[in-house]
Amino acid sequence: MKCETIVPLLAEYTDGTISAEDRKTVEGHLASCEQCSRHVELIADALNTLRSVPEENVPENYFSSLVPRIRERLERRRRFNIASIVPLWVQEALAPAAALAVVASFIALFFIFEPSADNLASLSSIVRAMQNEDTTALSDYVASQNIAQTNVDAEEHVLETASDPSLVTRHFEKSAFGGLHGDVEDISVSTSLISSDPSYESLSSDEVDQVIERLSHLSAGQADQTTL
Amino acid sequence: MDERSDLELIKEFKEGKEQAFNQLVLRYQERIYWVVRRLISDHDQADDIVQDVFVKAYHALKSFKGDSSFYTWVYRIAVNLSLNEIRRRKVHRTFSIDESDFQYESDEAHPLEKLEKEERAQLIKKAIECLPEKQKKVFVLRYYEELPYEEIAKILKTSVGGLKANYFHAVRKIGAYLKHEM
Repeated sequence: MKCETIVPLLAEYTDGTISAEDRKTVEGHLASCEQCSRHVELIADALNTLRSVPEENVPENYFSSLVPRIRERLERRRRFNIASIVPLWVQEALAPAAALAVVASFIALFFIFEPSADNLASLSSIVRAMQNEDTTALSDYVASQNIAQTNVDAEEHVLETASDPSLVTRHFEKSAFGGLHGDVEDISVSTSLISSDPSYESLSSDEVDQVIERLSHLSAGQADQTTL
Repeated sequence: MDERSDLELIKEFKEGKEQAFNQLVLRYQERIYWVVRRLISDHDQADDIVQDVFVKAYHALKSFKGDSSFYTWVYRIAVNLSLNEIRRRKVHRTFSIDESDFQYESDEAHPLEKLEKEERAQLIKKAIECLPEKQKKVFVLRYYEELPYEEIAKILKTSVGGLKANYFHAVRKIGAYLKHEM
């Protein structure tokens, strides 16, 4: 008998679950196969070593405290899992409506931003490039739009002319969100940030008004240039 | 001792009796803990996985059809979650053996003898950890859990012949490792 054929029987032979008939077959093979004999010897030694090592301990009361802890974990997850609160039939009923809402949102976004043919072409080329894991296409696209930079430059200019330079840095920290998104609405966000920023307390109300007015003026001008 | 069968408890649980699930946990917690602990080594991580096993079982039990026995089913969850953890560890390169994992019953053995046993236990742990995934789970279920090959085959969804070969090679490799290191 070949060694590969005898291997499953050797497993039973070494753990003592082999039948009398198979035992004879294995012992016949071992008598003529030095390699398998060595394996069996090695396994016998390994099993002896394994048996000589005592069981590891479990902390006291571990098993008596397991059920309450599992219950606690279940409860904790239930609190964060909306699926367990809303009945399944409601989830199933709402699923098509949710899918429809997602599609409608995309269509609405399309009409709100009215992408130009050029931008659509650029976006589709990015999608294709990203499918090929070409990440440089995305950064090239961002650079080509120059939107964030335009916005940051506008704010920087107004702030520099209105107050001391240190305010510029502080303001940028606060308005990073508005600056990066760079559309007209974000300019309004930045305007309200300016009026609520404590660092502008040192400015007179006229100066604050002047900053806001100039920002609004710029945002109106930028609306013509900014195309998303 | 609760005499209701697993299937009776599952039926009661499906009918809304939460207590029935507690009974199932109590019935299998020790066996599941030891399978996970053998595969994972560390008690705290094993504890975390054991809780996850039963949390997962709790949610999946509602759709449990009874094609296999509950314990085969829950063992399968335990083995899979443990192997996920082992894979995660490998990815994060945190494959280590913590000395503090080894806590033994206080015995009257000579300190040197005790030390030798601890060293041997460490080596066995390392040897088991070095096994390929499949051999490792077969070894744990067969050697430590003493499950029949037919049962292991159901848990791991594989053939009995293949399992026997896996077990044989697992023990042979552990033996070779120990011989080399001792």
